[in-house]
Amino acid sequence: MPAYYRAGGAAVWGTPVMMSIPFFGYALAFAAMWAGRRWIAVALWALSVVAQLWLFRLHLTDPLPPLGF
Amino acid sequence: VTPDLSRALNIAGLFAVAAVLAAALFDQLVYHDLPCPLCLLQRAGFVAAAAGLALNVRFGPRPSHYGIVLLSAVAGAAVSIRQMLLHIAPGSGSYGDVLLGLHFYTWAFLIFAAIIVGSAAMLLFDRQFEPPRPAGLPWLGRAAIGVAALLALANGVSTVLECGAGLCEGDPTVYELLEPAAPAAGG
Repeated sequence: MPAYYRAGGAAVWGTPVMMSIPFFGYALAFAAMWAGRRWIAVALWALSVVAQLWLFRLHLTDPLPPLGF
Repeated sequence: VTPDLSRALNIAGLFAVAAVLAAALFDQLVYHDLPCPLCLLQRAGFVAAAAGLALNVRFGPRPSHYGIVLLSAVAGAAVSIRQMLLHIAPGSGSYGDVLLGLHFYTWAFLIFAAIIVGSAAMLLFDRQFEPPRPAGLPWLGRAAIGVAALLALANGVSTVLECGAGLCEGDPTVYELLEPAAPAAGG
């Protein structure tokens, strides 16, 4: 859903793709394991991997950082 | 390899992956080495592999859990290979800190490769998959899963602080949410 969000140090309009989504997905998977829900944990892992690969695709062509960083 | 020994080895592996994640967070917080997007995706790969190990610890060893570890490590290794290739040409610079002569992304690839080899080797031992599955969950296993879960959560919070609700900058120098907002793009 489009909204104002912060990216690159500025407020921009668009659909946010949160870089943190995979981490929270995996954290929920760990919580499901703790609760003894194996299939929920596996499903959350699978969704998080898909999000991770999607983010990889978005960052695949990032430019190199400035030399000497 | 008995189911109990397999579980013990998976607990050790889970602590080892947690140590890698903790070292990355330590470097970020103490030496202010902010992770780039590809660095964050490599961390996510380690957390994903940890989830597979944790499944083995929590529910007993299964081939599908090792499959989860292997797929996660391959996904993480793909990111680290991409980052190594970005900097492989002479004069293309590098990113982040160096440990024992290797950049973190090179270390990440080596560790992902070790995870792949280790998981494939574990799959060679069929006896661990025979019933009965190990009963209960030892306190060390609970501790390993708890530490991994906390590190996943800490990385999520850190990523929100660094990148806000969007994608991260390629060359981050500040935590976006801790800095004053810039004017909206295009007025």
